[in-house]
Amino acid sequence: MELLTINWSDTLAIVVLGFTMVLVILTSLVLLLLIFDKILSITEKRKNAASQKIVSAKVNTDNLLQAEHVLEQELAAISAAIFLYFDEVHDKESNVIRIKRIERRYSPWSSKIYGVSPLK
Amino acid sequence: MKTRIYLLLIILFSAFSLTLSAQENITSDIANSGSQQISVIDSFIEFMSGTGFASMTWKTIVMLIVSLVLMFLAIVKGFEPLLLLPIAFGMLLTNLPGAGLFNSELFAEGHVHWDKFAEGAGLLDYLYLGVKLGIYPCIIFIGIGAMTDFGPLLANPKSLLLGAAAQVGIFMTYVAAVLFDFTPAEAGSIGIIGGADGPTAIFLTTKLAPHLLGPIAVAAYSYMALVPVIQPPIMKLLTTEKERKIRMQQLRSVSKTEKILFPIIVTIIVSLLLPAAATLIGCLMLGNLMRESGVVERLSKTVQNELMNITTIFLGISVGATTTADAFLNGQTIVILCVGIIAFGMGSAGGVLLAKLINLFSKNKINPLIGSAGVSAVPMAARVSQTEGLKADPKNFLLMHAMGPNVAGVIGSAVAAGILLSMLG
Repeated sequence: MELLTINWSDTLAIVVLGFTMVLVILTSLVLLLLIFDKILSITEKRKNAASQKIVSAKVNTDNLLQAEHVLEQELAAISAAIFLYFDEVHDKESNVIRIKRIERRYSPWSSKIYGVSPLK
Repeated sequence: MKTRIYLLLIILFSAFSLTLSAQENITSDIANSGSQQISVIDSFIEFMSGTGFASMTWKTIVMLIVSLVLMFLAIVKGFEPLLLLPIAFGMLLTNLPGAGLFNSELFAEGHVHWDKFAEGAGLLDYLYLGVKLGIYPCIIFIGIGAMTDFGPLLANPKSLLLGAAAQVGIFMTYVAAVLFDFTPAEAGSIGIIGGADGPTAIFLTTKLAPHLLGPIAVAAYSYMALVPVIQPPIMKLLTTEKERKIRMQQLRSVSKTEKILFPIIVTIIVSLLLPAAATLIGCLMLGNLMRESGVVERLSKTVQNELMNITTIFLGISVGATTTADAFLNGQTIVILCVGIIAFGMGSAGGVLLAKLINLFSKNKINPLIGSAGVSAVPMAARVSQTEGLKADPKNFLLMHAMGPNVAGVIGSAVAAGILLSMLG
């Protein structure tokens, strides 16, 4: 008899609706994460493709240099110029200095107070 | 030897009779002088009646024993000591007769009676305000977020489904509680035990059925401690030896950008879909953003350690304080404890069964043992999956795979709490 007094329609509605909502919300998150993953992998691929282009361009330049028989002195001058350029770049620093604070636990062995003679 | 004992007895007797006669003389003198009568025995009786011993009932004695048992479990057996110990001590304090540390009438009918606070509130009443106003669970959620790595979940988003399936325990328990004649709001609070998430259970119970907070919190934390006992038989029962030996693909590495964007996106999406869950999800994700962004290291450390620990102390003591003899020693508590264990079992089974279902359609097989980690007892449930996996195949490491559904369970239980709050609150 007690079972009949329970409002089964409300109870089942809460259970079915509630659990479905949990599934829907978390499934939407799954889909979102999968889309997100796709977008990231596409951007990653583009980045890789761009870097490959640079590499291939570099290879072409090497071939060009070989083809034109660049003199050793010219190569040395280019190297020196690049060296000086990057050396200057190195000097430009952020000027931000961070001090990492190191926390030392108190211990009577490291306490200053025992090493100081009291002034009377 | 005998003569000495006789001598001692005679001395004691004479001293006692002398005291009595002296007392009679004093009382007669006072009576003669017309002032108020004072007797040593009366004042002794009065003093004794003022002590807690005189107000002791069998209920308070039982509650003190229960608190001592919980302390034993926390200290000796190591069952969730971080929360069980403060809860047990809060239980001890609130059941000390006459101490007046906690007055449940200040929070009667689900409201805070601020006017009565001035009349004389105890220490635990003030601490309980943090629970009542829903502050402590949210702070703990910030701490949990700061301690959680969602990397395994991002590497395998399917884990979220396992976390969702494990919430089936909450709704099945809701039906069971309704069958035991609880109101829908009370049944919702009891059902959330199945989420295996203490702060969520406390948060929802304070909103829906504050008078059941004590038994529900004790049940939730006790069963969370018993996850290594409750889950393995269910896992073995629902899986075959072959399934337990499934080796999963190694998880991909997750970039920092993904980890930073995840808490922001989840907060926006979940809060828009379910505004009632915004508090819990927002706090969880705030903590996680602090961790992953790497720009607020100090804040991240604080919420993970100091803030979390302080709040845990206050939460534990004040939740324990609600377990007064009248609120705890009744048939409802026994039903809550029995239904709570069903909730845990159902949640574990839900995750395992969904993992098996996914395996029917998926190319990359999932070891169903990680499904049980969908209940959000972090990281205990994941450890249980790892241990059971190692028993089947000593070279199969499931811990990182199980952490995915485990952290998904935290999100799942917070979402389930939001749904129950919006439907029953």
